[in-house]
Amino acid sequence: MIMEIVGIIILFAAVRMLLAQDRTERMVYLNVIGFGMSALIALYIQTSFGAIIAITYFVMSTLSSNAIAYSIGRVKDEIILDE
Amino acid sequence: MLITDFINLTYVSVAIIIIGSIGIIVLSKPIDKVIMFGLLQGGFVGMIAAAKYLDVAMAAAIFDPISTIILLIAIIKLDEIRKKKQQQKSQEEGFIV
Amino acid sequence: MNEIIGIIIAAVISWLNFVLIDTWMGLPEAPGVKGAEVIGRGIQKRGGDLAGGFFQGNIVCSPDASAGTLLAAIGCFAIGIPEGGFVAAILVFFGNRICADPGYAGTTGALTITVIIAATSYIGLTPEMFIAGMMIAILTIQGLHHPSSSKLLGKIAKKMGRYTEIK
Repeated sequence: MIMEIVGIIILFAAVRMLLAQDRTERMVYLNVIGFGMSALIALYIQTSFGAIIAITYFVMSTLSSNAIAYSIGRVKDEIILDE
Repeated sequence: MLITDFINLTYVSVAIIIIGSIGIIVLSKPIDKVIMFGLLQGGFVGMIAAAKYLDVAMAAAIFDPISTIILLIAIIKLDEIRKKKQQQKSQEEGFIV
Repeated sequence: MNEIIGIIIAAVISWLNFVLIDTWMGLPEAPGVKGAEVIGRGIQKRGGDLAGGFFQGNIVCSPDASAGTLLAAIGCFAIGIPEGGFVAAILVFFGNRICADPGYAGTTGALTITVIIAATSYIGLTPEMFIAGMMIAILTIQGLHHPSSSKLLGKIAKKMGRYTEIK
């Protein structure tokens, strides 16, 4: 039952992320998915190594979200060549 | 009851990968594509863990964000070069006019 | 204990744990890492509160007490009740150093929730219920409507004296 709750939360956040308008809104939904996938991996593999994988995945995904948010601030509106 | 039978790690990861791929194909700006690529990485690690390849999942969890950071450095650099060229071109047109 | 009641109680406890510890350690006051300011300004542009926006940006861009709570619950579920929490606290501490975050919000959140999980295990709350409860808490803060939840976080920050000075 716990896995179903977490799975529904993840799918809801993923659909909202696809339909969002603003980039910073997408980043916040990506964080919800990072939490959810980490919890789901730990609940499926119930051994100690599963917990270590979940914690490592979460910390690295936070690092990559930090990098993406920094680039959003640095490059405010990109120039694409084919328009 | 039937729908909740389908919510396990494998199917949720497949759904996330499909949604991430649709996002990468449909969105046009590069940084939006990188955000959807982050979503795809989440589904990827989930699917490898569901297949019980745990050491591969650990390697994917460590190396995928490093590759995202390298890709972002490239996007920032390219954008700076294009903005500088655009600025130079508008300055030259100012001189000619 | 009935599972649904247990999940609701665990959700309320983990919501209070991470919001109060994060606000007390100064997360709404200033963006701790560089990416948090971008997200804060984005939420402000869409009609939210700036202090709540900085809080949300700090949740996304650095391992704070929300991360500490979830990872300590995962550790207690898979490794064992006090040991798992300590393992998670150490790994969150490494994550804080890697992100160049100057605070200790993640480690503090992990240690306090480990104590709470150990205490409520005598009433019948399992670490699994805390994992589901923490997911529901994150959904209410970050998954529903960002401007309104940032206004709620801003109100809590003002009441605890941690509102931001930046305009």
